[in-house]
Amino acid sequence: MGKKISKLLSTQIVQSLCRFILGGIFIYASIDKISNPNAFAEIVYDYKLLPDILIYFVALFLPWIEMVTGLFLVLGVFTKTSSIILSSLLFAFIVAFAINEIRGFNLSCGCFSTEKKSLEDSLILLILRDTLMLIPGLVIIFFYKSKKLLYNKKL
Amino acid sequence: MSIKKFIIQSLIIIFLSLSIGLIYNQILKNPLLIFKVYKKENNDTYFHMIDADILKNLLENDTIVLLDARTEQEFNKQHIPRAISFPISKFKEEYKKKAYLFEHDIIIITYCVDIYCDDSSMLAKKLYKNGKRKIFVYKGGIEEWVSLGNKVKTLNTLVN
Repeated sequence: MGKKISKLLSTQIVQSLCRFILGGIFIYASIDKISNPNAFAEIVYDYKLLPDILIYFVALFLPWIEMVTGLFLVLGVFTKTSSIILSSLLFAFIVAFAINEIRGFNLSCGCFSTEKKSLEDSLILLILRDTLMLIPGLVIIFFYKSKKLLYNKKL
Repeated sequence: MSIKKFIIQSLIIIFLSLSIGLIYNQILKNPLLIFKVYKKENNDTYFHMIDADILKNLLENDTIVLLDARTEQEFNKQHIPRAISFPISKFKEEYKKKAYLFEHDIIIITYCVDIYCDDSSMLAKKLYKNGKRKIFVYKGGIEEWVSLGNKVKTLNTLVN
């Protein structure tokens, strides 16, 4: 049973699907942040997790890391590394939401849009959503086999 | 995958992202000062508040544009004479449609319902972020304007 699931998760269809889902989400999420870096800097600041000196730096480069890594993942370049980076980002976002949930802060997510919207009680939902988004990343990390490896195995 | 391979690939991704980000920042209208400490802008950066008297004086001037940030229905019900409907909820759409208003170096005044309404400030902030300067907000809004006995306009008529 375990072997069957593992085999299924390493099939090209499942792997491609996971790549497109995770990569696509990050590409989409980065677009608005890239076009409004000043607004995104404000949102990063509102999280109150980073020292002020890093706010502009993160606001400028984080969306580009999301975009480049997302593109790499969709195109199948550095697949495993891209997946590890994006999953780590998702994990960092989950931790950031959790910290602010504990602090009781009401902040704007800044996940897909830089528009300031009050989240009120939805931080828990965001944590759940990001945890769900982690699944394709983990499938790639644990079950992805490079073509080279598959080719060697066939030989 | 070896750790060495992972580190090299990660460095390539980070290097690419940093390079593109830096180049992109150079072509931005308001580039981010990445090596400076972040300072949260307060609303004074974006606009100045004005009262009804100043608004009346400014309305005598031709080089102003008065924007009503409320919904179109509210605008049709009553609005300050010379105002143009510019609902904040449809900012992108309206900004494209009414780009001709901002072609010249013009003074922009925004207003909404009353002193508690935030839409006029939000509109001013959005216009600032689109490169507009000389922005004023009439914070008292339509309610103060009416309570002071000033003229208002409905869809087709001028009411005292």
